[in-house]
Parts: sequence; structure tokens; C-alpha cells
Amino acid sequence: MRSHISDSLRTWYQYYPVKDVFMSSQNASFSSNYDIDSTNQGDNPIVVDNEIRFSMSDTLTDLTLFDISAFGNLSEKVLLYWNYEYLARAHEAYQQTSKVHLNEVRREAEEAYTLDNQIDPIPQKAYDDVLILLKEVFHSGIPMPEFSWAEDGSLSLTWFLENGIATMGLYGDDIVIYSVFCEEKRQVEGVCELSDIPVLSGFLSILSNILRR
Amino acid sequence: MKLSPGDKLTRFIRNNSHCKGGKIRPDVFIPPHNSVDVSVYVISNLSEDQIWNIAIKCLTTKTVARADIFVENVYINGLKVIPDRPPSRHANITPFPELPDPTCPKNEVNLTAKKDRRALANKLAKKSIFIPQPTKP
Repeated sequence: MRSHISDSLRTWYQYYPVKDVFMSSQNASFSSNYDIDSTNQGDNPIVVDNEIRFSMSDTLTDLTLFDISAFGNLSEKVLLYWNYEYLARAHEAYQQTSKVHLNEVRREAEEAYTLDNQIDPIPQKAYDDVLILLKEVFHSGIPMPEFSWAEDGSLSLTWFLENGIATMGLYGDDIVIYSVFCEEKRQVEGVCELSDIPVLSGFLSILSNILRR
Repeated sequence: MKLSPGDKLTRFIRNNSHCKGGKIRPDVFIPPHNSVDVSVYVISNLSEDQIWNIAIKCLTTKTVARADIFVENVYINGLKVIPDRPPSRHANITPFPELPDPTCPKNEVNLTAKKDRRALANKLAKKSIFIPQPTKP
């Protein structure tokens, strides 16, 4: 069965052009004329092997990059997968880069703490929680955040938007405090458990949409 | 020292990760967990040299930049600017929501307070202006 590309899918289509969408009861695929080399830029994910495959009810969530259930013409929850080898390499590189940035933040925070006893130390658990959260961020396909720390002992992931700012704060207590503030007063904010993947995915999905505008 | 909405404040930034790329991180405006104050200096009618001299005289650690903000943008968010001398021109942006019980981080009141503190910090950061430390000739 060949699917029509809905309006919502078209938005995605513009971002990651595909030639066609093919679907059956068990699986589906996009074909693409994207060239792997020309698309491998920055933090944005790329189309691999001229094809993006996705299958229904697959449990390999580690491979999930996008939840495209929001696309209007797909009634079932459909997860989009990338080439496994590419994804594994990309994830590893992402983790390494994140760790380098986090180590810089750690050095800075520890130095500040030794000079000023008013500052709350950042617990090791906060760094560990950031790495866990980054896994979700990576799979959401949004750019790598910027890392910083605050005097209340928290770590922050920050994205600067065209007219606003998005942050996720972690204190090492399994809690994530997230928010988006935009110029037009549009605000999204909340608190959830680090293990609450549906809530985190929802927030990251909103952020992804804002970043792609 | 009576402040009007048009008066200017500055928060001295001592860490590079708080202003990397010339963008002020909200973390600059988050107070320590046992405090409801963010320390600032009133810089209305001061020259750049005079402002940087405050950092040299009053801070024990080196400064890398400043986050300047108008008093108006503090008031808009329901916060006050309370003079807190000495040193001269020192003030606090206050009161950030109190964390009633730091020993129970998952207490709902604590979580709401943390969220609100971060929301205020976001708003202040968004309205503040990045001023880098001038390089010495």
C-alpha cells in the first residue's frame, strides 16, 4: 500500500526529503534521494543508505529516533528507525562529545565551589542523570544542548531558540525540571521523573517542533 | 537608594559556561538552595571602567562578563531589588521562592519552588544583556 504524505508528514519531508512512502501491514519504508555525505552536517540526523525503515511494534527503543505517531495518516504508533550501525556510531560520538562538555562544566563548578562555600556542590548523581537524559535527547533528533551549572547544585541543558530559551534542569534526585519560554509568551514548563519517558518525549517533541520552525 | 524601573543592575559572571557564545544562561540567576537572593550591583550613571572596578574591588574571584538588566524587568516578574550595603551599590534581587525542606527534594512544595525559581531565572536571563570583560591593552 502506498501512503499519501499528509501535511504533518510534509513538514518532516521538507526537513529530510524522501521520494516515497511505502507501507504494508507489518512494516513500511521511505526511499530517499538524500546523499549520505551531503547530509552529514552538525548535530542533525541523516538519512542512511537512501532509505529510512520503520516497523510497527518493534521493541528496540534504543534505535528509535522519531516517534512519528503524530503524522496524521498513520493511525498506529509507528517508530522510525535508522541504520543500526550508523545510529550506534552516532550515539557513541554524541555521548563522547557530551562527556567532554560535561567534564568542562564539572571542572568549573568544582573550582567555583572550592572558592565560595555559599555555592551548593553538584552531586555525582546529577552528572549521571544528565547522561541518562541525553539518551532521550539524542533519540529525539534535536541538537545537542549547551551544558552549565547553577549555584543551587543543579546542572542545566539549554537550547537558545530564535525568540526564546528552553532548559532542562537536574539535581541528581531523578527529577527533571523542564521549560520553554518564547517571546510570544508561549510557555511550556513542568516537572517529571527522569524515568517518565512519555512526558520527556512529549516535551522534547515540542522542542523539536520549535527548533525546526 | 531608591530605584526606578529605568535603573540598571548588573550581575557579575564568574564562569565561562554561564555565558559561552555571548549568551547568558539562566543559571546565572539561580540562587544557592538556602538563599532567596541573587546578588547584583546598581550601575546606573556609572562608566564602564567604574562598573568593572566594582568587580575588582568587591569580588574575590575573577569576572569574565556581566549580565546587565533593567530594574523594570525585575519588577515585571514580581521580584524586588533591595539595597544590601556594604559594599556600596550592592543589592539583592529577591525574593526567589524558598525551598522549604531541602532534605526532601521530591516534596511537591520543593519541586514547585525549584520550578518557579528556574522559571524566574529564565525570564531574567532572557531580558539581560551580555557584556564581556574588556581585554586589557
